[in-house]
Amino acid sequence: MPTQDFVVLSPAVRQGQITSPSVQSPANILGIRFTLNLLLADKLATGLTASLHVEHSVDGSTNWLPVCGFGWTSYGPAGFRTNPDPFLTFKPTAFPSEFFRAILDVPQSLSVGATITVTT
Amino acid sequence: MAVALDANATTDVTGGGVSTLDLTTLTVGSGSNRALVAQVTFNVKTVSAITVKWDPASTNQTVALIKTANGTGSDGRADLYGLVAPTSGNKTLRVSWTTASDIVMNAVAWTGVDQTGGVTSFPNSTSATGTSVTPSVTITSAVGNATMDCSANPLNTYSAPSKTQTFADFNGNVVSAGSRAAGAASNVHSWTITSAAWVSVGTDILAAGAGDTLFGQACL
Repeated sequence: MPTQDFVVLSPAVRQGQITSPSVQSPANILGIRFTLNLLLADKLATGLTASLHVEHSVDGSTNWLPVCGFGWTSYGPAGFRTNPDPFLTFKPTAFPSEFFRAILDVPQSLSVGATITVTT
Repeated sequence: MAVALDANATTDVTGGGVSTLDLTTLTVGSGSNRALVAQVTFNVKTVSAITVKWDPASTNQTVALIKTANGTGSDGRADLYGLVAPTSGNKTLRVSWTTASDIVMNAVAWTGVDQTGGVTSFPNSTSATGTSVTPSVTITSAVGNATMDCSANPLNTYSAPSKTQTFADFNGNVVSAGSRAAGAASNVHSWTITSAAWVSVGTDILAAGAGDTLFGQACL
């Protein structure tokens, strides 16, 4: 199944609440994945946090509604398995041809980006 | 009053390497004797200090653990959580825990449920584990009640549910699925997978007034 990555927020040192540009899901979408792109050093740090929430909209400009979200805490020096970039998936077929965007909340300075991967 | 389906979440949600997960795709209706059941699976079996909240931004209702069990393989934990009288509306269901894990979550709203809460409203919870191609859990129930299951394994996609599928997901490092059914004396919730170490949990959902009827019969 073909996938396409949309880097909606380029990795950069960020802090506060950041809203990504939106991506419209194609009519034949099968899957969608939101990934928080982090540095390994930050993933192995202690006490760093961030959250990502996904919103959807019929027209991409108004009435954004929440779909889902996650909170991430840095894995610490021992790491977590392969130290993945935290991610979120759901079934976008429930929202055909709608627009999605990510809302990042970064309470402390952190190098972070966001990618939306669409599978058709 | 029989237990009746109110709503299933529009989509389940999977998180990877996270420590909280929000699902905002369930709308609880305004029917009487409402209940909410969350189906949750983790890949990390040792996750701890789990809290599940409905509408955390406002009424902040605690969704209590009904049943948890670990699989016998390296990964895989399945949980069911229940709440009576959930606040109506399209709210957030939030699960939080310590240490990172992959997680899958779905939720189902019901009406016609006994409003006592706890094991009275969600009786006969049970679990099963195995290494086979047929994850299965048998739930003691009754006509008028409803039953739900939730199953997890580390590897293989679920198919061929014996009951009505509420979700099935394979996007993380835990593969899971759940189903629901109208109550009967004994409900078998089974699936088909490629052989793996699986774990399934199940619960009965007691109909409003069912306990009164049983009590009345006992007095007679």
